[in-house]
Order: sequence, then C-alpha cells, then structure tokens
Amino acid sequence: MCGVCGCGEGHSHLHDDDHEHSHDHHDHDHHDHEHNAAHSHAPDLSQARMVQIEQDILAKNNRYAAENRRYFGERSMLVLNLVSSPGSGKTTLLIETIALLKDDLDITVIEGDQQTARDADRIRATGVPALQINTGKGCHLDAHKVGHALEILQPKNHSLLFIENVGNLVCPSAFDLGEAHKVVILSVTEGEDKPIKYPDMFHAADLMILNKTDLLPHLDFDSEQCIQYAKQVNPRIKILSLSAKTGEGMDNWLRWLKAELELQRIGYA
Amino acid sequence: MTNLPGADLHLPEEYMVGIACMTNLPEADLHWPEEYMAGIVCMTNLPGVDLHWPEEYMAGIVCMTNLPGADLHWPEGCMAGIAMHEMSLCESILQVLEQQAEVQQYRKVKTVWLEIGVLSGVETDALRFSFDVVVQGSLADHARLEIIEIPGQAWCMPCSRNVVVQQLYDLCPYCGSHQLQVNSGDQMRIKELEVE
Repeated sequence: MCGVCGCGEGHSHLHDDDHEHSHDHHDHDHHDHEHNAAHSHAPDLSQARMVQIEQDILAKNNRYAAENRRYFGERSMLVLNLVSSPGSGKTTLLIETIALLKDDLDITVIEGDQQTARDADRIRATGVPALQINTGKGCHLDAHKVGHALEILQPKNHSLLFIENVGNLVCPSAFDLGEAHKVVILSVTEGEDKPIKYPDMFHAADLMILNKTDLLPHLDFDSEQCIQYAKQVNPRIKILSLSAKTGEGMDNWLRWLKAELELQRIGYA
Repeated sequence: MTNLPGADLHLPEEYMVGIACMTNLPEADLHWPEEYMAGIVCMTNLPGVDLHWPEEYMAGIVCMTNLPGADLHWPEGCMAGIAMHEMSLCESILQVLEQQAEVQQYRKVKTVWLEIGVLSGVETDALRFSFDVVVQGSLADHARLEIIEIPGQAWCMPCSRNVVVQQLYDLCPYCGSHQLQVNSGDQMRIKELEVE
C-alpha cells in the first residue's frame, strides 16, 4: 500500500484488538517531478523568484485515496465512509447492521475517533474485525491512515468495509478516503436545517440516513423540510429514514447495501 | 481577528488572529459581541474546562494550543482533542512547500499564493491564523499568505447555463431551481510561490 507513502507523521495510533501499534515509518515519499525548466537548477539563492506550483492542497491525500480506491476495486469491495455529527447514532446503526448481515457477508470496520478505542471494542463485540484509528489532534480520517489500516485488517474480496469517520460535520467532507460513497447520518434530534448549516458534508454525500425516527412523535422535527434542504444542497443525494433502535426502515438500508455491493461485484464504477 | 472588547474572553495579542465563533452561544459562559461571530468552531465538549456550551454547538470549535496569558485554559490532555480543519490544510500546504523545495531548489518561501474557492468550506481568517502557526520554524517562517478568492459557479440544468452561487444551498438566481452542479469555486490550490 505504500507506493505513495511518505509517513513521517507519527501522531496517530492504530488499535488492533488490545494492542497498540506505533506508527513511525521510514520515509519513502515519491515526489512529483514537476520541474520548472527555467528554475530547476543552479538557482541564485540570494534572489527572490517565482515558482509555479498549481497543485491541489489535498493532492497528497488524493493520491492515497486513489491508491485505496484501486485496492478496493481489485477486491470488488464496497467501502462506505460514514460521517455525522457526534451522537447521531452511527455506531449503534453499524452494530445493528452488522448483526443483520454478518452471517451473509464479510464485514470489516475502521473506527475513527480522536481518542479511545471504545467504538472499535463495541464493534468487535459483534464478532467482526475492527480497527481503531485515533486521530489525536486531527479532526478527520485521511486516506493515508486508512491505507495503513488496510494493511492490518486485510479485508476479504467482495467484503463490505465501513469506515466510521470522526464525529464532525465539517472536516471529513474534504478528505477522500477512496470510498464508494460518503453516507451522512443525521438524527432527528438534531435540527432539520443541518444540511444547510453544514452544506459541505451534505454536498459531498451520496446518501443521507435520517436516524432515530422512533423519536419523531416526541419532536418538532420537520422531516420533509430537512429532506428539501438536503436536496437543495445536493440534488443527487438519496435519503433513507430509519430507526436503528427499533429496526424500522432497516430493511431498506440493507437492500441498498446489498444492491451497492452487487454493483461493486460486476465492476460497475 | 482582533481582541474582543466587550467579551468575557481575552487572549494575548498573538492569539487574536483567527479566533471567533460562528454564532452566539446562548447558555454558554462564553459570550462575545456580534461582530466577532464569523469564524471559529468547536469539535467537542472540553472535559475539565470551565467553558461549556450546549450539545448543538458541539460541531465545529477549535483551538490550536494552550493560550498562555489567556483567561481561558484547559488541561493538557484536552489539547489533543481540539483541532482545526484549516490547521490540517496548512499542514498539507507545508508538506507541498517542503517537497517542492527539493524539486525547485529553494531554501526559503517568502510568499504563498493560494486559490481558495468560496464554496470550498475554508474559513480564510482561520487559514491565515493556522498558516502562521504551522510554518513557524519551517522554510516558510514568516511567509506572506496571499489568498485569491475564486467565485462559486454552477451549471443550472433547467436554464442550461452557468450561474454564480455564493453557497452550496443557493438556488438558481434565474429560475429558482436547486438542480445546480457546482463546476467552479470548490477548489483549494497552491498556485505559486515567491522563493529564494
């Protein structure tokens, strides 16, 4: 996986079971050799000059993401990047989903949190492999960390990989991990205007899951308005409503997952 | 961006750039005047900190480090949990500057020109603040940051034309449709450098 790896950043930690792997690697970064002919050698170091860069700020992450995507494609895996604000019920949704699917499918999970391995522990209790990435001061997972998680997890061909991103509706939107889809989870206990308050995330997602629908009778949450806001930010977004707790709507989510997995198996991109 | 007169929170001059808040925080201990409301953001509650705010404000805030001399302190352990989107972008920028230094043979970066689209979700004041912090002690220490703002543009499907948009949730200014495909204004690019 390290074809483009330049890991010198030893600040995140991977937790596989109860062990902690330190994350310091030798540096073998491959540079883009975009030589500017006029300036590429024997510069006069005392004189200021201009150099053209024309490079995306996230170019490095995007290279790792492309590498991850190639890896997933070779294995016909379905990989979903689950994003939401803290407390939307992502982990509970995952646990319930795994419980319903694990007899039929190979599932692995990458958990991203700033601190603790609690979520990965909860996932492992369901019997599927899970790896915790603590991002430390980072507010999102990046494609590089995910690439290293794959080395440890070794997911199977035709498997389903859930990447539960750090609970944050802002930062993860910009970081491609190589996933097939970003799935944004919004619980009805949050405001219906979240899609326009945090438009970047809803713009980046392909599917929105409206979770905790069992609580709707107790709330003033306007589902139709929420869906309209989401469509306003992203006309292509699809929406599923469900309650991970009661199971209402879970069948549609499972059918969506199986259909998407089937698309990966036929090499549909 | 500046000191916060009238606010309960005071920070030393060097931290004044880049801190702000998206909205007032009713029920929070921390208040500042309306004019400072554009820009910062907090990720999570801060255990052990005197500063608390309600759950719905939890998505977004941020501070980079302890603030010596400021009234606001939190325990060292909390420092890891406080972060900033713009901070990580600046780390990515610095990586490119360092990598290009070998390729393009320079030792010092004096000015960095960025193209930042208005739809990129980047808060430019926070970006400037983070940049100054991130490049300290690097080849770009004290470099000037020039931000070229790229307007938002989207293709309106019903109108079959490009229209200007300020926000991702904007409707077409001509037909009112939300069937818009953004085709410019979401970029974050390093355009060029002045180096020596």
